[in-house]
Order: sequence, then C-alpha cells, then structure tokens
Amino acid sequence: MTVHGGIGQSIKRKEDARFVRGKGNYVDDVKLPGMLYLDIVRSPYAHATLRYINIEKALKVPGVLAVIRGKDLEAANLAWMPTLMSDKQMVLPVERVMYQAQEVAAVVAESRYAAADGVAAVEVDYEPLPVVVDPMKALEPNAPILRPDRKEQTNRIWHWEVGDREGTDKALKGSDVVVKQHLYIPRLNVASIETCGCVASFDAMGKLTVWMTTQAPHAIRTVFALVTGLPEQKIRIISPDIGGGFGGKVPVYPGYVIAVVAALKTGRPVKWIEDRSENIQADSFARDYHIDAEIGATKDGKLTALRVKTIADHGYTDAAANPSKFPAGLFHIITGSYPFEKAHVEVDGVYTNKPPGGIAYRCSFRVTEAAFTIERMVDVLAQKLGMDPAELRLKNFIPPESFPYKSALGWTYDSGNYPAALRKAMDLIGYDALRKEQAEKRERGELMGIGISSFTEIVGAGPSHTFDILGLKMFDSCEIRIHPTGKAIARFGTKSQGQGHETTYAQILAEELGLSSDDIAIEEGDTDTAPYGLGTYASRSTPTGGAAAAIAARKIRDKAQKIAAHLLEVSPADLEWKDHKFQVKGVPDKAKTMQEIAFAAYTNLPPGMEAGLEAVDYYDPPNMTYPFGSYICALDIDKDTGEVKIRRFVAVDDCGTIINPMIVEGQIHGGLTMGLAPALLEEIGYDENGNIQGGSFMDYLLPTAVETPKWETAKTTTPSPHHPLGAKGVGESATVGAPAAIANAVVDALSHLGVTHIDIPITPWKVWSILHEKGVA
Amino acid sequence: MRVEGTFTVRAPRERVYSFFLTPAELSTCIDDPHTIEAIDPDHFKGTVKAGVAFIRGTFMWNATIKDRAPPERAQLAVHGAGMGSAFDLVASLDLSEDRDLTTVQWGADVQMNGTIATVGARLLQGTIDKKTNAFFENARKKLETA
Repeated sequence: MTVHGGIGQSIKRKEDARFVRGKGNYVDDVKLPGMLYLDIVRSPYAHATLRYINIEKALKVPGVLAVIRGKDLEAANLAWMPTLMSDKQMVLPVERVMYQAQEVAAVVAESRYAAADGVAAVEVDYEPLPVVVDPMKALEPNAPILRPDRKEQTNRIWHWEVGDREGTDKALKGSDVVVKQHLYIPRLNVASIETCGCVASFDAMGKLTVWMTTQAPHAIRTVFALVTGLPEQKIRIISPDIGGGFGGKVPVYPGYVIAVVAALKTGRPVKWIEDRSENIQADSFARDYHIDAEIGATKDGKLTALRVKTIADHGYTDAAANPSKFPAGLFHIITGSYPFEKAHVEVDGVYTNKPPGGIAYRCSFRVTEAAFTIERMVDVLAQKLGMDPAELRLKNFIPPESFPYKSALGWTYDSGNYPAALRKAMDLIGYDALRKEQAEKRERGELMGIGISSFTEIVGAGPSHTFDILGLKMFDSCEIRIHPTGKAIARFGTKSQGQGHETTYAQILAEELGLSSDDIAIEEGDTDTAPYGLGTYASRSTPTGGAAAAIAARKIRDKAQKIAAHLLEVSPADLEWKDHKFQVKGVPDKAKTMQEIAFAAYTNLPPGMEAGLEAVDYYDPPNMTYPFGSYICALDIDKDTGEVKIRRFVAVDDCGTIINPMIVEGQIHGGLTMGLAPALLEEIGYDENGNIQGGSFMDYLLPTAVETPKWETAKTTTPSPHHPLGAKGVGESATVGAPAAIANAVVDALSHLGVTHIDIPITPWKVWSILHEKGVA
Repeated sequence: MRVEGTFTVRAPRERVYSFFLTPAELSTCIDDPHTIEAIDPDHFKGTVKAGVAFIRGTFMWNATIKDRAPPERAQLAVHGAGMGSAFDLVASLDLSEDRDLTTVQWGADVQMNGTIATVGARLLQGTIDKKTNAFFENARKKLETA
C-alpha cells in the first residue's frame, strides 16, 4: 500500500502553487511602515587609498537621511567583520579599497530613488595604488603586499596539501606514460534570478529582525551576534522565499551589516536590495582555480598516480565557506572515479585585488573544479595513449565490489557502480555508432566530437568529527509536531532556494509516518521557530535534513507504537509498522493509523505517558555521500564560425534513493544548463586595472533556451548504505559533471588536428582561432 | 588605453597653441553638455555630462597643464569622477608648422575605472574614438573659421 505523496512519487511541487501565480514572498516584497532604503557608493578603483569622503552634498539631497562611512562603523568596532574562513573583511573601508565595486559608503533615504541620488552626490577622493590582478604575479617577491594587516607579509593566504608526495613522485617517475596539462577554470557569477538584499528592523524592545536572502539563516544569526555584540536571542533572521542561491547567498555581505547599522541609526526599518551589476561585480564568485595536473599510467592504460598543484585566487580576503579543516574545500575528491594508488594535491590560496568569495555556484566545496580536472585529464591521457576514452575509463573505474572504497586522498566512498552508469549512457546515445559517424565525417572534413564525463561527487557535509564552519558542526535538523487531527508541521534547519523542500521533505515524512504529504506543512528559514541547522548548500539538504526528517519520524513512530498498543490492548512488541500503519502481527485488520494515534496522543494516552506527538533530530551523518554519473555529449563544430552545436547530451545520474523523480529530473536539467554555461559562455575577466570586463548580462553570457540542447536523462540507483533512506543528494551533480563532457567533446572534435586542450569557456572565437591557425577555417 | 591622431589645420601655430590652452575656446569644441572654469593659468575644472551607451551621467573633472613649451608642445593631465566611475588621462600636443598650415599631433593615455569600464567595456574604445575625433574636428573647424 502506498501513501499519498510518499517517496518515489512524482507529485507536483507544493510551493509552485504560489510561485507560478506570482504569490511568492521574497525579501523585496517585504514592506514595513516607515521603511527606508539603502544604496551603496562603490569604488571605481580596484586598489586605492581613500583620501576623503565628502557627504555634505549627499545629505542635502531631498529625502536623504544619513550617510554611513567606514569611520562611522569604526567607532562601533564594525568596520571589519569575520569571514566564514576566519579571515576578516571590510564592512566599509577606512583607509583603502581593495577591489573595484567595493562598498565605500552607504546612503539611507526615504525612497530608493533618493538613495541613488544621494549615492551620486557623495564625493570620494582616491589615490590609486598598484593593482594585483594575476594571482601568479601576486606571489612574486616584489608584488605589493595587499594585506599588510596580517602578520604574514605575503599574498599567500595559506598552503594546503594532502596525499603522499614522495610516493606520487616515485609512481610518476616509474610510469610508462605521464601527461601534464595546465587548466584554468575561470571566475564565475552565480547569476541567480534574485539578487541579494535584506530588510533590517528593530522593535521597541530592541530585538532585531532581518529578512534576508540567505541560504544559512542560523549560521548568519550566530555571525551577526558575534559581529554586532547583540545577544543571539535578540536577533531573528527570516529567510523568506529565495530566488536561487547556488552558494551565492551563503556569505555575510557588507550590505547586510550596513542595513542593520542604518536601522539602528535611524530607528526605522531599512531595506537594501542590490542591482544586477552590483551582484555580478561584488558578490561571492565561484572557481578561479589555476591548475597544473599530471597523470601517470602504464602503456596499456592502467592509471598509476595523480599530482595536482593549484593556485586559488580568493580576491582580497578569504571569504569562502569551506569546512575549517579544508581551506580548498573538498578539492581532493579529485581522484574521481579511479583507484589511484598514489596521489598528491597542493593548493595555495592567494590574495588579489578582486572581490572575495570562492564557494558559490553549485560547486559543493570545489568539487566541480576537481571533477573537471580529472575528467579532462583522463581524456588528455586517452589521446596520448591512442585509446578510446570510454575504454580507458571502463578499464580503470573503481570496481563496484570495492565499496566502501578509501581513496588515495583519504575519502571513503560509500557506494557506486561506475561501469553500469557509463555503459547505460553509451547504450542510450549509441556510442559505437557515433564513433563510426565521426570517422566518416572526418573523412569528409567535418568536425564532430564525442565527450565523456564519469564524475564522482562528494556531498552531504558533514560528519561532525571532520566538518565544521567557524566551529559550528555541520549537522542538520528536523522538528516534527503531529496535531490531534493527524495533520503535521515540520521545521528544518535547512533553507530551500527553489529546490522544492516543501514537497520532498513532506514526501519523506509521508512515507515514514503514513500521512498524506498534503497534510504535512514544511517550514524553514525562521530562526525563531526552526531548529538550528547549517543551511542548504553543497547538495546537503537530503543527506542531512532529509535524514533528520526520517530519524525524527522514526522517533515519533516509537512513541506512536506504544499509543497504538494501548488503543489495541496489545503489547507494543506485538505490533509491526506495515503498510503505513501499526498492525497486530499476523492480523492486518487490527491496526491503527497515524491519524488515529495522533488523536489519542492528545485524548487517550497510556497511563504515565506525556501528551503530544513530537520529535526533533539533529542528524550527524556518519559519512559523506558520493553521487555519481556518466554523461556523454555529441556535438558538431561549424568550421566557418567556430560555433559549437551540441547535438545530443545523455546524462545518467545515480543519486541513490530518489524522493521525487520529477524534482530530481528538474534539478538535473537545471544543473546541466548551469554546466553548459561555464563550458561555453561564462567568465568574469579583469583588465590590468582590475576593472571587471562584463559587469552586466550584456557581456556576462548565460545560456537561454536557444543555446540549451535537449537533455536526455536516465538513472541508475545505488543507495547510500549509511543514509536512513539511501539517498545521496543531486542538486549539484549535473553542473559538476557537464562541463568536462562538453569540453572533452570539443577537444575530441579537434583532436586529429593536434589539439589536446582548450580552456573553458570554449567560445566560438577560441575555436575559430584554433581552426584558423591549423589552416582549417 | 591609448588614442592618438594627427590633423592639419590652416592656421598659424601660435594661434593653434593658444586655442588649445584656453578653456573658453576648448569649451566650444565639446559637444556634450558641460561647464568649464579656469582656476589659474595652469588649472581648470568643470563638469561634463557624458557616458557610454545607456550609462550616462555627470562627471566632475579637473585638469592641470603639466608642460608648456609654446608654441610647440603641451601636456595636460585630467582626472574625472562620477556615477561610480573615474577616468584619468594624460594628453599631449605636438605642433609643427609648414607655411600657413599647422600639423597637430595629439595623443592621450586614458585609464577608465568603475562602472563605465565594467559595464561599457565593449563600447568604450569606440566611444572614446568617436568623441575624440569629434572634438578635434570641431577644433579644426573653429580654427579655420576664426
């Protein structure tokens, strides 16, 4: 017997009833009586000394009530704030600006228009300083020291390494074949539909409420308490509907803090909403990794060792949000789907005159960078060996029987069946026929490429023994209350930004409690009501929050079993949970539903039992989860224009147990499109003066329906053995796996011309230039 | 960014030199709405309403004559700021005379920062070329009709 809206059912998303009718409630929809508006003066220079800030004219603009500068904040010890990586970040500068578009001052006014006029009237005098844009140059001995406030007088933030250096060196020296490749994975913007913003308001008792675009409201509350000195119980963070996060709404932005100060200063609510250009120019970025990778192999294609050295450009402060023990995130998942016996990874974090960030964009702690590198490198090796890239992968995959598998860099993969996923993808796309077609086209001088990516992800951060952010352990939580009529509410420490938690969490609870998912309300994002949690990012909601839901539901079932036994006048041991109700073993007709038990929990309890039917669980996962997949892309290249046209793209994903197949498919479609974007279109570049080249959607290119191919999706199912439901998480898989498949396909199309690598984004200009150089175009 | 050019005008070199170092005369060559005010013989300031494509607004600017070698050579440094942007340019003039013709060789190193450099980057070079050419064409016409 199935329960309505249980696990595995493609029910429609509950939240869409309001979203598709324009009834969502986003931060910019919050309107409070007497609310003021905040706009920000931003630096035109990437590096400059502040000579003075003249606010007299701005204060004379009609409607302007206040202008806040760094020195105003300094008096309250708020000019700097800690980052989530224990570095520090300016809220507003006092002496120097460190990147173009950095916040310099803030204007508070009666209307958004008056605030913008006030911003235009603020006069700032700058003395330009030498700009450091290139992280490699930042490490040169004579480079200007960008952070003289640090004890370490270098632009190197940290050096981190993992693995067996000597063993890897030896294994590479002993390998028949070694391939090396430099890869640049460019800086990206998350480009969520909703930009960042907040509304800050103090009540008469001095309690601060902030409606905020945040993916992690509880962690933000704690950071706010630490930064402002306000008692944590007097801070309420409400994260209403969020229009896309992708990691860009994890950090604490200066605008949030300034809005709180402005509300305190004026005694009125203050709203700050950034515009699109501000979002692209100043918000948390993704990627910006400069990677040198080497793979060794035997001459018959058996992988031996992997060595990776990386320069990570963090901008002027390390404001990523990696677990404390892993400054380069989970980049060392870079051994991917292959059983390297030896591996060694080094990463150097570097300061430059760019905005901080480094965690955003569905990257799950640098996993995209890792997956792209290993999957690109396997193709580089295949090309060197003259082997088919599918054959090379199938020859080297971690065997299904090896799980749980411990990698050379220390991770213990929970489960996987990589050959099954790749073979399924090859069957679906007709791999052998495509190779035959490619050979025929090459004979005719046409350019066709086939690219594979067999990626392994690592998500679900994370086990408390290893994972924390600023000391906060990375558990997550669920609190369930079942009402007397058998309806329920459940609150979570995570926060949906469009993933569909109101539906999927309700489906988990429906399955576990025997209630209809329609009868279960899901709430997230209000720190006054939801249990503490670390939020939603890095595909962690189902692995942590979803697990907490299952465990909390099972705690409720424990109590419900006793109540059912009381109602049925049997021993609890005589009951079994079957067909979503408690029934007497062997007597299916003698049973109690959860609705009946819930009513009894308030009306007819066993003697000595307290009333109510509630439970809470703070789930500390025993391990990470390891979703995986195999993607194959077939594309054609226009020789005359360099344009890449993706003809087919087959994505086989394995995220363990699936809660809602329709939502998972939607996640994969979105993720694939977000993987297509960096492969072919997206890049934030800088000129030598530190000006962003492409601070609007005129230049920062995103795929539209025109550029997006028809995605063909399929699945294999390999449940996680340690997750209560066997689920693994899927939010990021597609964007992690797709870029390498596309890049590999483009290089494959040009491989007969001697091309071994092209850095992403692979623009028509790059392709045409290569074709022109090779005498083809 | 470097912009440069050469043009020939039918006017005496002394007259051309004086023209380019006199704020009131320069003002007649600027198409965009502006103000210009002399602080002393070597310093002047003003405003100009300009922009790239849809990014338009008012810049406040000040200029300093860095080098005078009449009637042959002059160098001018200009700093402007406004609408989240800033520009710095160093412009040079070299004048040579051949009978009643003066050849003006000009060049400027322009550094743009902020919103205009970011959002308008693709259009910047074209806009600067267009405005500079318009300025000198206006100057040539004024000098020849004066």
